[in-house]
Amino acid sequence: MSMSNEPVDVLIIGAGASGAAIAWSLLETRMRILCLEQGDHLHDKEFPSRREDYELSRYGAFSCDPNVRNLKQDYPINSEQSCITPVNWNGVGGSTVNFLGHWPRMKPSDFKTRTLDGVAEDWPVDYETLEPFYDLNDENTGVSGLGGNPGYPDYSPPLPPIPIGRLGRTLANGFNQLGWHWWPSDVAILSEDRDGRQKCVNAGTCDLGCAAGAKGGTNFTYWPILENAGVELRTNARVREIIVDQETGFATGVLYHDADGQLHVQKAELVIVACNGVGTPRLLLNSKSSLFPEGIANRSGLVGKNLMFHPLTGVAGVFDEPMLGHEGPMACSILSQEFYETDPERGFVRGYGLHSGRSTTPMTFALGGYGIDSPIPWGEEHREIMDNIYPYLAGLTVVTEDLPEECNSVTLDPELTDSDGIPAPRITYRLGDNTRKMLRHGQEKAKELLRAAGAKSVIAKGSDEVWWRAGWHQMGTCRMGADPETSVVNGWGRSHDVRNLFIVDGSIFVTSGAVNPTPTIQALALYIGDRIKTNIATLFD
Amino acid sequence: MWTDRNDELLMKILDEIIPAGGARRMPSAGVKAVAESVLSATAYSDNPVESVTVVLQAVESRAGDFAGLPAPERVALLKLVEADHPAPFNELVRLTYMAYYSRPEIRPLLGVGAHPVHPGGYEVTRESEDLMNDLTAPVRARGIAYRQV
Repeated sequence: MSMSNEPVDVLIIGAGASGAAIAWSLLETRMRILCLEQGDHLHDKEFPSRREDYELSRYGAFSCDPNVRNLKQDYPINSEQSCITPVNWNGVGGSTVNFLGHWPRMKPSDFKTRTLDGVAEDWPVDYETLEPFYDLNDENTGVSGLGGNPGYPDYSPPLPPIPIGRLGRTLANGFNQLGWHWWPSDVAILSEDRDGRQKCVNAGTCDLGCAAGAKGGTNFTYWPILENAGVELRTNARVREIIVDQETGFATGVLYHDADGQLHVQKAELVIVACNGVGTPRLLLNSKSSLFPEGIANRSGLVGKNLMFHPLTGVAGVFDEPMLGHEGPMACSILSQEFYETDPERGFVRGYGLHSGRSTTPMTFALGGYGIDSPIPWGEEHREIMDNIYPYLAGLTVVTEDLPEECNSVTLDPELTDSDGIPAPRITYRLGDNTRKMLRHGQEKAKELLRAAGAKSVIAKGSDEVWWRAGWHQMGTCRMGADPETSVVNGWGRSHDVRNLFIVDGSIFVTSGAVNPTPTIQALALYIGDRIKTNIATLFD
Repeated sequence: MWTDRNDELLMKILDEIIPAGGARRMPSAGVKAVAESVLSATAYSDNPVESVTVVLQAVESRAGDFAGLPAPERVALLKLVEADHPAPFNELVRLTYMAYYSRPEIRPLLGVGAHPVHPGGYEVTRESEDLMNDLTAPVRARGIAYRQV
């Protein structure tokens, strides 16, 4: 039986990175804002890092992979036709709960790849337009880093950098020896106490949620402010479909399931989708009507197309002294963007970053590393690797730009559903030739760097092997653009087809860059919020 | 029916999967606590007892007295079982690693704290401003490193 709830002005679907940011932006309008979130709050006692056997949770209820967690709030994802599987968190804070907090911005060239390199499309916004929103979001999040990075137009993070550690210093010396760019990573992790949140204690388990609140998940940054200010956050509320008036073509609200599976109608004047690059196309494709038989806002046929990840591969060096890689934020020490911009002599367009994460804890290393299911050998070889290699490792992760291709997609699985019977997403994805070339180039450069830094041996997997659980960054499946034939939303996130429907998450990216997308996702959400406020009188024209 | 004999054989196999010794004097995985954790790991495996049972039966069918074999022969036999039954054997290896390294007393032997990482974490000193200036000086000296558009 359907139950009806009191109508609201703004309905946001998803309480993650982008949903929280746009809610914050719209606070000053005094509109009634409601956010529906399929998961729940994570309470203090639930953080696994407070337990002695904290590592175990990576392989069960706190896995980054929803197909492993299989919790009630999760939806299954069919990744059989993909070399990368999406990972996420469903709950207040979304994937900022278990993301690793690495915080590099996209670069000016990322927004103009068609003009500069003849590939993909240019964005309808540019770096200069987003820059004040990057700055604003850095303040709201509490970003730590070192100003003056020559890799970007000048800006300074609000907090000083976190320690780069022995591992970071060792690699930095290698980069300096080769004359390559590197810089201490910008991180959404507090290097100093701030706003009632505790600074990072270097626990090294960012993926298990930060019990200290040092990591800038929106469960610790935006949501406490939003709830205090009267934004209603309704948890355990899973949206089934967006409903649309068949005469006017406007969205009128949503149907959602509560924790007991009961179906409700929630009416709204303005609907904002913030479910990221897999959840958002899934919801739109599930919202079929006579007006939109292929899914709402999908007259272009591009909802779900052009899926981009950031394919990753790792190279590690074995050094003479322990690198203490388990101490400190696990993905963030230093970042090299020496090979980020296009150089025709390399044989590929665009580029990649060399990310110095830290190493991990013994169990995760023995099981193959973070995001990899490939345990190290058993027997005497196991003893040798754990005793004489594991403590001495420093690694680099090659993170490549992924160019959009229509064949890489999110569609609806014909059989698989979540616990409410809503069709699950199916991923079809393969690596492009350009990406393979980048991965090979990146592996060779990473080896060169590690040797220059003093590694006595270097360990790498095959150049075509990418991490299976590398699908953190889900982009491109509802891309922005000026032309309704070749894009899903306009230059400020409004659907071309449904004028009171906005999308604010990673799905609207036109290209992927080769950096972690969350700072750009949130800057875009703040920008779109600003455009909504500016255009409020003619918002639906 | 799970028996004491099963327990003993499982622990002998665990002794080979993670052997004792080395410069760090690590203990082997063949102890009761690890065996129990492997068998009860239903949160991490569809049916751990079934996987373990397949391996145990395969070992017993090849050697009535596995424990009595010389060490190299035990390893060689397990490699044959691994080749014949890769899925259950790999599952046993995976669960053994999880059970063994989840014991807090093991981590310090590899330089990692035994404690839960929150709230204490690790003390890591931030590099001084002077050190960071010195380290980044060559990067800054090369000037702008992004494509101006």
